[in-house]
Order: sequence, then structure tokens, then C-alpha cells
Amino acid sequence: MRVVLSKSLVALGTLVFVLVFNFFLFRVASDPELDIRRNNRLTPQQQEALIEERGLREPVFTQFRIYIGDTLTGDFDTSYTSGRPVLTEIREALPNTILLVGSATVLAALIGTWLGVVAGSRRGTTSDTVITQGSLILYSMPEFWLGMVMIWLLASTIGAFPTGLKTDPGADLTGLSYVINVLQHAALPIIVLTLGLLGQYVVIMRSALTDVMNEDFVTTARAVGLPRHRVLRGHAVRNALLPTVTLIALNLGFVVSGAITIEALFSWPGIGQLTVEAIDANDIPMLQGIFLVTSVAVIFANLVADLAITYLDPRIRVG
Amino acid sequence: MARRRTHRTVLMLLALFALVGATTAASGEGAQDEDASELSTDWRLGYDQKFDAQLNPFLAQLSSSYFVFTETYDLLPYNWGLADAGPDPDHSLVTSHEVSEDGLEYIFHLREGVKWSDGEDFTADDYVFSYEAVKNAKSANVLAGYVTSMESIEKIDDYTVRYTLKRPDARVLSAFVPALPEHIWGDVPLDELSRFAPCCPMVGTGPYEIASDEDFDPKGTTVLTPNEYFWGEPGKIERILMIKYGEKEGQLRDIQLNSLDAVLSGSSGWVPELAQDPGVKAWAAPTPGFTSIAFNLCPPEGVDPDNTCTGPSESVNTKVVQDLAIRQALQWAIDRQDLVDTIFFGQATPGNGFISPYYKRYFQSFEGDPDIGYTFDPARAKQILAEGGWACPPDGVCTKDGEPARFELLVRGENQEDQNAARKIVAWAAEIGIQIDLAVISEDALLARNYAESPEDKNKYEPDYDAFLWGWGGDLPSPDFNFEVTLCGSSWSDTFYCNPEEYDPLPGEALRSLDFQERVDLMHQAERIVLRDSPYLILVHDALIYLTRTDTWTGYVPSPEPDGAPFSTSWLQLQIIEPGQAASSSYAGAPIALTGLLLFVVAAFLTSRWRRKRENSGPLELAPAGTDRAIAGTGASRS
Repeated sequence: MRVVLSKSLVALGTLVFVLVFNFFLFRVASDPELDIRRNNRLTPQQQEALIEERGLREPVFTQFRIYIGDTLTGDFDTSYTSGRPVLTEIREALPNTILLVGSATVLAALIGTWLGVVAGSRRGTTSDTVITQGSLILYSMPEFWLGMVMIWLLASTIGAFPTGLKTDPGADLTGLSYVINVLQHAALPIIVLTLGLLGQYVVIMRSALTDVMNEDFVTTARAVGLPRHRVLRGHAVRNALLPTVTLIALNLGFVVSGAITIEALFSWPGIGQLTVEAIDANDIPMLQGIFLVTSVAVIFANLVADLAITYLDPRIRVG
Repeated sequence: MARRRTHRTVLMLLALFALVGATTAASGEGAQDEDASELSTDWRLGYDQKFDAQLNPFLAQLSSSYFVFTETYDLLPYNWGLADAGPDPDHSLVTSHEVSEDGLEYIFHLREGVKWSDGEDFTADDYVFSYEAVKNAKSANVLAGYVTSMESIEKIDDYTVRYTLKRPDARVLSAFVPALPEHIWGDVPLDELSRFAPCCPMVGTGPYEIASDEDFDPKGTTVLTPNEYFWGEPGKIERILMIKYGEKEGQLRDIQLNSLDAVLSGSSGWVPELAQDPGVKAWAAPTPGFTSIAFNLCPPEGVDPDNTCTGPSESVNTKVVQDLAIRQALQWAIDRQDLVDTIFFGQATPGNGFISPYYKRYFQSFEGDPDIGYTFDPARAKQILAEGGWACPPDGVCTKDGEPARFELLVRGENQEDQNAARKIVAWAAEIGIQIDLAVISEDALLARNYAESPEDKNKYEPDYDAFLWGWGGDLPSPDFNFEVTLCGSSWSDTFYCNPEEYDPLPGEALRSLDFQERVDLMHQAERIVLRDSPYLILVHDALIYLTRTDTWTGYVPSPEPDGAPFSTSWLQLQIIEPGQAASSSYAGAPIALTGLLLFVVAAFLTSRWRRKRENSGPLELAPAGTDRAIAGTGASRS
């Protein structure tokens, strides 16, 4: 319990730092009052009201207090480009990104770990070579290039998948038909991202398993004649999973930051596209919002990883 | 033993892939056969340039917004006709007009029975309101140039309007003034017109409308549906789908796959690429505008008398970009023909003036002119620099009063052709001793620096750039607009060039002149001045590239004929096209693909279980010695 508490406090501390950093970083990069005045979507009265509301003519400390209050109550300001609340924009894009990057991360973790176990338990065989080298090749490929190849092969040539977009344009989709249509469109980018992410799990798992397989307790298990699956599942894989669990948890944190190149390539309206558009348009409130949401997700994922490792490896609790 | 197992697995996987491929291909063919029995009803347009911040004609500048305006608004008095982009009384809200002998009074007769897309009547009140709004708008207003000669406008009766001018104006009949519904826009204060968001529903008299907020999705698909009160003949298109892409190439791919019917803005390189593709036609429509490098010429004291800028930002290298010798030297240092050949794949003509060769009746080539007939002549460029007081070492950067000849050139990240052209220009400039630092930024960021708000007056600018590469589109009927961008205090001005004595009177006189030859001569005089002063280095008169499929919709008519755009000039262009032999296909292969994937996963799982069962019967094999390989860099993650 003490471990959980201390790690949560560390995460909370990091979160506070991010909040403070987020405030000053974007004030160094731009002048928020000038940004509001440049916003053509707002009438002069609205501009004035917003400047007053944000206290942009007040001392920095007052502005900071307002910022903290607004952030904690979920008021992330208004996007300069769309004129809509930042939180609304993020809320609309986030499910798309979670579907795309989240699914790919989970699939890559599952398949990659499984392939890592296969490769690690058959060291030196052809299976090991094919899996390890294949996943390294995929890992070293730029995702957008892999995406272009897959579009050419699976979408343009074979016609097995749509080439991009979230749904069929103009299709009257509701309920289940909408879900199926989105899944059809998401399938290829998910496959591409999965292939791109796969390599790291394969290599980590294989490497960890290789180490564990040389441990004395595995040799003992073999010596007492335990069947292969019990040695692997009951002893080796469990112990080799620790680094993979860390990696999965950390990558899950990055899910919300989106996949910029893949989202652009497949015209997928997620956080990655939102980020690119915000950078293009110098949309500071939007960038601030995305930065904060991403940071919170990563901090939370780190905390989960820490706690998971602590649970799985009692040595950490002691040491 | 292990090797044989691997082979078996690989064979199983290959068989599965073959099965998936075969079933998918079969389903795709089936889907196509099924589609062929139906005619297209949707017209699917791909675009990648986003909309303006709002669909407001007082403010909008981007082609995607203008496409929507073309389909939703009628122009007053006349829409631009297909043949020559001239007045088209058969397809306009004005059916005829009379003009006084002195050219100062026009009487316009309006079409009766016209309704707005919300069912309200269109009357002379709306006509009067539209012109007065454009004339009196107190906020940013890109339409202001069309009403500079307006004295007054009044309603004679519900369907007749009197338009009185201060001076003759050759552009009266081809003005780009959209018909705006007074009952919607009338409540908007004059200083907020450019900030008003008219969408959605976007009420107009054109054949289509964006009917609701749900139909306007700038990140996905924006749907235009027929205006049920449209006064003209209904077209065959039941829905216009404007589909936003994250990048350009996806549009080319999708139109080739029959997932699009048209593309709004293509690349020059696609024209030769598509020459052998019978399914897609590339239209290279010569643009009435130009691609150019614009310099920041806002003087330190600001621009008088209209004063759109209060002075350049402190960071602007005025000693270099506002030195005439630098700009003129660059004019001679650029190989425009090379740009046409290598960057624009021949789909452009070398820039040689404000008036594009598109305006056949107005165009004059200055080639061979000793002063402004700019060709590629680095020796002449060096001579101009020397005469301008710049000391240029053989392999270094020229200097003048200790100031190096160096400036920053901004170029849009969204346009690859511009970036490639800019890189060539940087190299040519270096050869004559001018160092250009290239900065690739977004369109929005470029506009923000171009029109950076002045801290002295929020309604004026403090331009924060040295130079940038972009261009202007120009109006189809006449080149008057091109001259407007260099008038002192013009709402379109982006260089803040100002020559009130010599230049400013000429475009106005050209507009006032009712003698065509005199009008053209005045334009050419203005053109000579602006070429000499070089606020712009006009690089090329490029072409706008449009793509259309040849089988889903047919009967496109270019406007102006014979080589104009197949759509987006007049709403009439989309009203007259017909469904082709092939229907717009919708994708149908994924269910099979997903089934195939599912089969693959199940098969892989079963294979694994089967193998594990076999292997579990024996002890775990020890690895051969020396086969454990350390794999470096495995901890890195990508996101």
C-alpha cells in the first residue's frame, strides 16, 4: 500500500509539473492576448470578453490561477481555427485515435509477445531467424512507407480494404452499419501500425526469454522432467514478461498522442491530424490541450506500469 | 525436424493468403458488376486544402471555400458564363440591363419568382443590401474592390434596381458580389460582417446548399444537397460530397480506383502521369493569376494614405528586401523556363507580367524588353547589384554598408511544387551573391506573418516577413483584379507596395475607360511600372490541375472554353453533367477481407495448439551452442 501511495504521489508531482510547464511553455512561444485578437472567428466583443475572462491583462500569477482553475474544471479554451471548445475537438478525435493506435498497440503487444515466445523458445532455428529478422525489418521501416506499400498492395491492387477515410463518404450509416463501416476503414491502418509496432515486442520478449531460459530454475525444471509447456508457461514466460509489461504500459500511454503519419496517409481524423492542423495554424489553445491530455495519459500509463511491475515482481517492493 | 515444421507452417499461411486474396478479388468483381446496373447520383470531390476559418465571402480566400460559394450563391448582377466567363443572363438573377450613355447608370431587371434556399423571396431589397454590405463593411473585406466606383444603389420596384457609379467601371457586369439574403445577414453589424458565420444552413439562391451543421464536416465529408427552391433546371447530381484528404496523393489514388469523381486541386506532375489512363482526365486550366515571390515593402513609416500597414516588424531585413537592386537582380537571376520544364512539367508559362497569357485579349509579352523583359541572365543580375552599390566577392555574399545580401524566403509546406521551385531559386540567387534562407511553414503561419497585427492599431498590419513564395488567382473575366493587389491600401495587398503618384491612377483609369484598346494600354503602362519596381518576382503563370473521371459523370464543359476548369467557375457546369456508364462504386471488399483475417487468426491459433500438443510430449530442446544473439537497441519505442 505504501508503494502504491508513494508512486501515486510521484505521478501527481509530475502532473503538477506538467501543468505548470504547459502554462509557461506556450506563453514563451506566443502572446495569448495577441492570438485572441488575431482570431477572426471571434467578434471584437467576444475577443474582449475572452481576454477579460482569461485575465490576460492581469499579472502572470493571476493568469496562472485562472488557468489552473479552468483546466481543473475541464475548460481548455477555444480553438482558434474551428472556434469550438478544445475539449470538444479532442473528445471527438480521441475515440478515433484510440481505435486506431490503441487497437494496433494491443494487437502488436499480443502478437509480438507470442512471436517473441516462439522465437525465444526455439533459439537458432529457422522460425527464430524468420520471426526475429522479419520483425526487425518491419520495425525499421518508416510507417508511412509501409503504409503506402500496404495501400498499394491490399487496397489498390487486391481491393481488400478501403484506401483511407473513416467511413464511406456520404453513406447513411447508423448503429451497427456505422460500426462495421468504421472497422472496415480502420482495418488497414491498424494492420500497418501493428506491423510497425510488432518488432519491439518480439525482440524484447525474445531477449528476455533467452535470458530466463539460461537461469538455474529453468534448468532445474527441465532436469526434473517437466513437460515443455509447463517449463515455458509456468516458469520461463512469466519471468520474462516483466520488460514486455513495462513496454506495453508505456506504449498505451502514447496511444492518445496519435500516429501523425499514418493518420495523414489514411486521412484518419484523429489526434495526430488534430495536432498537425493545430501546429499549422498556430492554434495555441488546441496544442496546449493536446499536450496536457497526452502528458496525463503518459503519466497515468507510467503509474500503471510501475504498479504492475511492483505487483508482478515482489523484489521491487522489497528493494 | 524444425525445418520441416517451418515449411509446413509457411505453406499453410500461403494457402490462407491465397484463399483470402481469391475470395476478396471475387467479391470485388461481384461488387463492380452490381454497381454497373445503377447510375451515379453522388458527385464525390476530393480536396486537401482546408476551408477558410468560416464560409464567409467577405473573408474567404481558399479554393475549397470558393467551390462552395460557386454552388450556393449567385453573383450579382451576372454569373460568369461558360464560354468566356462573361455575363450570362440566361443563368443569372439579373435577366437584362440598360446602361446610360455616359456609363454611369445601370438599370438591372431581376428574375421574378426566385426564392432563397430557406423559402423566402429574393427581391430587389436583397440586391441593394448585398451591394451596400460590400460597400459599407467596416471589417476585413476582400470584395471591396468590386464596388470602389459605386455611388449609390436603389430599388425601383421589387424586381428592378438602379446602380449609379461615380465614374465608369468596366467591371460592373462581372463583379464578384454574391447575392446575400438580407433576412439572414441584415442583422449583422457592419464591423462584424467578415466574422459572421453563415453556415449552416448556408442560405443562397444557387442550386445547392449546406443544409445543416451535420452536413458541414471540414475534417471529413461535407455534403451539399439540392436547394429545393432553386429557380433553374435541376441537375442530375443528388449530392455533392466534398471529401477532405490528409494529403494530395491519396486523391490521385482514389480517383483512379473510382472512389472519387473529381479532384479540386491536383499537381502538375499528374498530367503526364494520367495521359495514358483512360479512366481519369486531367484538366490543366491556365490560371489568370501568377506564382510569385512577394517582398515586404511596407515602409518604416507605414503606407499612406490608406495606411494598411504601420511599418514592418523589427525582424524584417528591410535594407535588403526593400533595395530595388536586390529585387531587380533576382529578376534576371531566375531561369523561369527551367521552372516551367522541371517543376511544373510544362503545365505553365514563364512569368512575364501581371497579365497572364490566359487573358488572350489583354496579354502582352515583354520578352526582349531591355528593362523589364526578364530572362535568365546572371551577368546582368551581377551588373545591377554592382550599380546598386553592392560589393560582391567572387564566391561569397554581396554586402552594402556592411549589410550582407541575405533574407528569409517563406514557402508553404502544403505545396511541394513551390518548395522545389524555391530551392532552385535559392541556388540561382547564391550564384549572384544573394543568400536566401528558405523556411518552409504552413499556409496559416505564412498568412499570420504576412498580416501580423500591428500593436499600434489592431485594424492594421505590421508584416513580419522578408519575402514569401505564393501567388494570386485572378478573376476570370478580366485582369483588373491583378492590378488591385498592388494599389496603395488595397484590402488584397500582401506586399504593401505603394506608388500613389505613378501607379495607382492607372488601374483606376483602365477600369473607367470604356474604350477597350485604351483600357488595355493603361493596363500595360501599369504593368511596366510594377515590373520595374518588382514588389513581386513573377515566376510562372501556372495551371490549376483538376481531375475528373471519364466514366462516372460525363459532359463536363470547361469554362472558359476551350481550356478552362471543368467545374467551380459556374454552378451551371455541374448542372449539365450526366451520369456515365459506370456508377460511382462503393467499397465492398472489407467484409471478405475481415473474414479472411479472422480465418487466418483462427488457423494460426489452431496450428499453434496442434504443434504445442505435439511438442509437449517431449522435453524442452536445448538451443545449439552459440545461437543466442544479442539484439541491440531493443528498448527503443516508436510512437
